[in-house]
Amino acid sequence: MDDANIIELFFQRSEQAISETAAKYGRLCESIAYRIIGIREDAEECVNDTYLNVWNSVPPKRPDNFRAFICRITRNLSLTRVKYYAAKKRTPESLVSFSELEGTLADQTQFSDDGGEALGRAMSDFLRTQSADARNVFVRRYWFLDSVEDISKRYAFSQSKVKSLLFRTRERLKKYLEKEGIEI
Amino acid sequence: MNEYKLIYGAGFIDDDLVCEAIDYKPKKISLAPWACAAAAAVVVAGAFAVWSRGLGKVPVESNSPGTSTASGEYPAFTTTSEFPSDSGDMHGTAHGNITGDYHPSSFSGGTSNCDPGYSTSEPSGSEHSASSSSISTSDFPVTPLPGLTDYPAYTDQFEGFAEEDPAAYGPPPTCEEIMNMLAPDPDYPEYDVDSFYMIEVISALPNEKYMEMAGWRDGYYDTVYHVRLVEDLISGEELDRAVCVRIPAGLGACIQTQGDPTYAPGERFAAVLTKPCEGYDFVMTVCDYALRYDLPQGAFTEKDGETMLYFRGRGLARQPISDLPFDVEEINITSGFSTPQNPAIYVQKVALGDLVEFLRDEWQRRGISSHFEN
Repeated sequence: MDDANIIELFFQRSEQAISETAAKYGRLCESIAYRIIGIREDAEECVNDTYLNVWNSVPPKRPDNFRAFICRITRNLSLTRVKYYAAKKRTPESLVSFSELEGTLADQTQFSDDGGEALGRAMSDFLRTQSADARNVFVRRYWFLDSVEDISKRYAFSQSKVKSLLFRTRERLKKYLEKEGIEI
Repeated sequence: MNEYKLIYGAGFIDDDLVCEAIDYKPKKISLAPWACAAAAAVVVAGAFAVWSRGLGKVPVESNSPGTSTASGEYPAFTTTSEFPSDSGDMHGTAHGNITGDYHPSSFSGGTSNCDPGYSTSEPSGSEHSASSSSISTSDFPVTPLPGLTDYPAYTDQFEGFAEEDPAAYGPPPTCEEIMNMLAPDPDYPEYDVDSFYMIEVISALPNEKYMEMAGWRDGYYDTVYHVRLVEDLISGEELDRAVCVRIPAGLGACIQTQGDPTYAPGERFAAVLTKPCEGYDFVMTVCDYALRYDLPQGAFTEKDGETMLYFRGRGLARQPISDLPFDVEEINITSGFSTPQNPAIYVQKVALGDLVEFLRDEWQRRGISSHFEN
């Protein structure tokens, strides 16, 4: 079923909307949640919470890009779950390997929503100027939180190529943000 | 850069970028047709056939002549080293010290007792092949390449330094000069560039074996290695392919170029290699004096997630490119990994990604290498 029809089912408050969403995007959401959280049961809970979130927000929202909308909700719920673990000092094994999250999510230093959106817009503008390989590797790493090994397998790149692309994209992004006056 | 903030900020990027990353399929750089047919048949099958003979599947005398050198066949060879001791120690008398000070000394003469006719220890093929199995397919017995623990023990055979004429070398090359040297030349097809590879050394061939393969180079200082191609750095393709590579440094493990020692088994370096060429049983490094970089054992080869390469400069013949368009760190460290009597001297550190990006862009513009032929 295409996304427009699924959204229409949500507007009609038909429960078929959930089953259609699960059928089409369930696996994608599970993979996003599991990659971030690392615990199967918690990832499944996040996915179920995603469907509830979508049910509660559509309507009134009518997302232009339903797939991205669903993925974003899953991602945010998963990160919130990880933050909960960090705050409770419970560190599931899978989190230990993701050093960017460990110890930092408990940190209350946050951008305001406005600051985050401005950064997101700048990052989007920057990423569009990069090569497709660099852009997608970057998004897989920092949006999907894939490991270097995951990205290497997904795109059939060597791990050294993935690391190299990430390193240089981060360096260029840093210079771009400094030029735009955005502190990071 | 605070990576948490990157993760946070990435959460606000546009939807189409998110969806693109789900669906994205990178374009593959396709090799020129000849490389698929010729390289697969000549390099892979020929190299595997030689390796299986070298493992003792067919007994080899240390001084026996090589087999046919027709295109696609590599001569049988024995390694210069003894086979593993019971302890499994791979590096016999090698030392893994990286030190920070190097004080240049004058070059020594090239005489030595390293008689090209010297005998190596006859490999007991059955011992060495205990960890390998052989699969016969078509006409070539195919033997898997050794894992790192299967490599023979390395014995330091340094006896003296190669003679060098300081007057023979000019100022450091520029990017333009190097690219001009790499450009295809119809008069010298044997130097046509294949690609830039990450290479792992299996062994250095005894000098007499190399002379059989390339007697016309008599009098020049070259060392031929049996190596594993680990990665095509230009395309990013991971490989596991054995070839013989000639490097213009030293004369086997006995006579060595000062500051540019023979590589020990397991050592890795990155270099531009030629395509296999009819009449040659090995490929060669191209612009070796400026484009061979090491991944030295014991050195810090990772920086912020980037792989760092080290350039061996020994003051004269090997000179780093003078105007590389990316960050270059000048250093002065030595590594006595393969022999403490002739430590490698590293003068420059660069990021692998920067170097690969530079070569890829330049080669694409100029139609250099198998990937970008016009």
